Amino acid sequence: MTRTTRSMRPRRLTLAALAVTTALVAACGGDGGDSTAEGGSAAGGTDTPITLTVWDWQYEPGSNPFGDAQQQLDEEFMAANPDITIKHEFYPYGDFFTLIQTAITAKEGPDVFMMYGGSFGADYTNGLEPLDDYLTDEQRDQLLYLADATTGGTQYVVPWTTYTTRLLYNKELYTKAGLDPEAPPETWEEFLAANDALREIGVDPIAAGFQDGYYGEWMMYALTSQTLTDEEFQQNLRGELDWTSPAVTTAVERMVELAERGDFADDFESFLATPDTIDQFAAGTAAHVLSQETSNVTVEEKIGAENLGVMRMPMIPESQVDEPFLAATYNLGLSIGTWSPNKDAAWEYISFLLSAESQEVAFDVGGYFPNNSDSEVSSDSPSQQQILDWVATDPNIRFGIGFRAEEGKIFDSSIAQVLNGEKTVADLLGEIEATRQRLGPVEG
Amino acid sequence: MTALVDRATGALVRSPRRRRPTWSLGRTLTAVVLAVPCIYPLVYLVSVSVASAEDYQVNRNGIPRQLDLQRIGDVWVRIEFGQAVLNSLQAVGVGVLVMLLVSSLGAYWFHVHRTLVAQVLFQVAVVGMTVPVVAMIIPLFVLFSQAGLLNELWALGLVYGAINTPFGLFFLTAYYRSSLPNELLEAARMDGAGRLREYWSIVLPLSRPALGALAALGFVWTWGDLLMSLVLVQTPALRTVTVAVSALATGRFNDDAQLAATGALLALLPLIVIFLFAQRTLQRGVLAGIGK
Amino acid sequence: MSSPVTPSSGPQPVVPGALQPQRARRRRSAQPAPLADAWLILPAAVLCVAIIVAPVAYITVNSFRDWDPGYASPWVGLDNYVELLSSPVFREVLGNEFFYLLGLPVWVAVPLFISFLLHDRVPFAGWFRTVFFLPAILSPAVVGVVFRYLLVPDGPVNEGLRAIGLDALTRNWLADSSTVKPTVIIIILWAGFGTGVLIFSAGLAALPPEQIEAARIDGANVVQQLWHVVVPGMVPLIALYTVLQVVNVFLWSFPWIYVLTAGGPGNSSSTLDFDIYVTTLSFGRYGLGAAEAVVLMLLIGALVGVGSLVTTVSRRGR
Repeated sequence: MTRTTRSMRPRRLTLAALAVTTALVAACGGDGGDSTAEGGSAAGGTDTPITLTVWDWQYEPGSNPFGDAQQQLDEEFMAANPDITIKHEFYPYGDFFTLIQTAITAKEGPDVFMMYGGSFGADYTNGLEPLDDYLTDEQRDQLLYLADATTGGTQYVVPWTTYTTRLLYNKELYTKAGLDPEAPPETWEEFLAANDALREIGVDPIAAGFQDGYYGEWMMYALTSQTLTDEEFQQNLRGELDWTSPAVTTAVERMVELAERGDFADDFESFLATPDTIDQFAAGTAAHVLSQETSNVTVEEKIGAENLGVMRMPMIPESQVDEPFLAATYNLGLSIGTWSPNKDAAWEYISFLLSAESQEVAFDVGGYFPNNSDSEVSSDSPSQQQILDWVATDPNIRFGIGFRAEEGKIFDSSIAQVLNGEKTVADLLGEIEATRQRLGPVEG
Repeated sequence: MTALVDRATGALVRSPRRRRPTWSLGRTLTAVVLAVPCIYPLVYLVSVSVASAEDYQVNRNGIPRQLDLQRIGDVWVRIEFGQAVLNSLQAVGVGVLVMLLVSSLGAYWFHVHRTLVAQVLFQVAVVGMTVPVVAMIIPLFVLFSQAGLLNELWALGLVYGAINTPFGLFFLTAYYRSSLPNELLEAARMDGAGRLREYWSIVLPLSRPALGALAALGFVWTWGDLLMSLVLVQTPALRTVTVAVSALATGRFNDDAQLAATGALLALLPLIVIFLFAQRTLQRGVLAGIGK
Repeated sequence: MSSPVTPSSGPQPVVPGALQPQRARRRRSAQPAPLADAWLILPAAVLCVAIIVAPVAYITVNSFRDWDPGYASPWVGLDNYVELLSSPVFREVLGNEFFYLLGLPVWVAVPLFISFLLHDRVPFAGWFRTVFFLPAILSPAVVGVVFRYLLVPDGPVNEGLRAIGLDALTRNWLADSSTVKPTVIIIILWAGFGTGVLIFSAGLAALPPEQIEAARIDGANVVQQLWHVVVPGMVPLIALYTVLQVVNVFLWSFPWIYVLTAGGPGNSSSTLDFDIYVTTLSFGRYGLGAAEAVVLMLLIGALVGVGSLVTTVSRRGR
């Protein structure tokens, strides 16, 4: 009897505690819910206070330098436009496009959000406001990569800051391997020879992690920027480029060549693009790494600024261009939701971000290379300055292939299998091509 | 009354038989060996979370030799863990209470009515357990956005409650069949007690162990939900624990094993607390629902 | 103090589709009017219709359209189903799903064996059950993070194998298409067997102890006792648990696949519910995803139907 009574106490307690907690939390939580209501609905440019919601997959103040830059820019914008409040919200990249899809379904969501153009944007055009008429002539003159961000000829996305795909190399390891640390390879032949020399001193020639597939995508950007003709690049933006065409096939085969030679770090199929590849490089076990990082600071701290070299992807024999060039395009794209009641204010905010001055802040604080030709920036880091010089002066800047979501999914989940010989290049590209044909060309 | 309570719970407190006082070395050792893989991953999780970054670089798999407890605080602040716990408690709490209320009422109806109609309805309810949540998410999202229920934690709680209700009906109906003394109900009925009074003064008190177990199960099942809370509650300030923590592992540019592990560790702390409170209830309740 | 109700007339755990008709026809005194107290079932009915039935009807209708929620969605008849059934990805995913079902014997046998082990002559048996249940309270997101790092090439599992000289067994468990499915099966076992131990322990407590005792005295070993006494005595419970596991594989594998493998490498570990997620929320192909969801529900209905038929037949046979 005693036992029964005693054993019932914790039960009652648990239930009671649960009920009380719920009631309490529900009571306090009410305010939190209300605060999400939209601030205003008037068109931009009036005195009515407006709240712009901005969705972002990079913004995380305090945890990355770009977040700090973004926060500073938001504050500057609000100071200059007291009637507009920026509500900046961060969502992880892995969930980002799912949430954009739900916003499109609900026809409500952020006023401004990050987006990619090209064929990728085709799956989201229901929610993207065409921005061709918003862009001023001055902006068209200043901004790089505008065409790269179009979808079927429409400017749903405007490009912001510069994205580069380049190789970092370790000068110390180069010296050890008997290579000239100041003259990195420019041709594919030289590159393979350098890799042989590096392998002989027991380091991995190229840091690699293909598990999530992103590293493979970066490789494809760098290699197809060499193989695609201008016409093929345009075709890809319209979703019309044949994935089994020689230009694409060659690029994947060159990756397989590196894998078969053993130039990639061991167990490449199990590491992630970030942070594993940079970790391998920073630890000094790999001599090259394909890098998208905006800043080389952390790597410089690890291996020493004097040991960090930066080079452009060596020319494969099938390249359309004769000399090394910087593979670059826009880094982040910005869009306005078709549902936004404050499109003019949203464009005001975007214009502010695109301006030369704002992009200088994005570089100085966040390390993002500008895509506004009027921005004046410089860096103390030699490797960083080298990239800035290329962005400013390289006459051959161009970029490679873009993936639609479904194409990217197939590529990402299979590239490791292709590189370790479980799947053929033709099978992979055939699968992607079948998907492309099913999806059909992109409508503008 | 006491006798009845005894009868209802008598079987619940019945422990495994100990007629032979000896204990088997072989069985005990096997149990100990099996316990190791249950505990080790958690030990590993703690190790990764508390190791200093330098130590983790060189000593990935061992017991940490150098600690950095700062990270736990950093992650706590970064994902606004305290707020996330409150958010989760609100959604999950509403869900559990709704499930308990709705399914204890419904199961009682199934207990009283055994007509063909009731049987068919019961089957339909059970089929409700076999609906894939992933399939419901888009319709629910459309429904919620039209009804203005997006970003409402209590509405998310309703969904949680609904999803677990078929199981609740199923579990409690079985429990009532085995543990509700018909004599008592009939006596009450003859006294002219209405259904509400039967439910309130007889059914509810006698089903406490089963309700406790059901609450614990419902809590565990919905606390870990990722998909529905991600889609139905998007405002960052209203993120639930699971969504906040998984953001540490799904960001594109911040894949950090130690951060992800620390987030996971934080996420399971509230569960451990609930579990320590509820595990006796759970064992007894399941025993009550199934065993006897 | 034991219950006067004997186990055989106790609550036979209700397997979906098998509400015991013989019990339903049992004596009813003062059968109440079913509608007078319908308010008891009303909240459950309203809730389930709004949040379960309506969405299911909604996607079923939309599986016949080129569905673009909120925008023009023309009727396309059976096109989505035709596309689905002719898709190599769908066939591969369906194959994976049945591969995962191979885990059933393990998922059922392991908790059954352990509960039997703890049933008798183990001190602190309740404490052990608690420890075994610990993994079951963790959410997939947590388990996913832990196991991803446990199973990497230089992670603790492979290092452990190397330490005991089993270098040949080291694998890249989750990134190798030949090991990923068995690995997922083991992880789900880890995460779920505690619930099984709890349920089977409850069932064991209801078995007449004399039977096991008699078998033991006759010299039956543990496996024989389990097979000849425990299993026949717990057929309904085992059937229930098995059905729950089938339902789990088909309906609740999304979070596991999402956090552990994202369906890869290739599609080699993807499941139907994960694929529905990808098709709809990653690719925006709502009509196709709706058709896939309908197929999944038909499939699970058929499997559970067969399961309950088998149970009903086996129960009649006894």
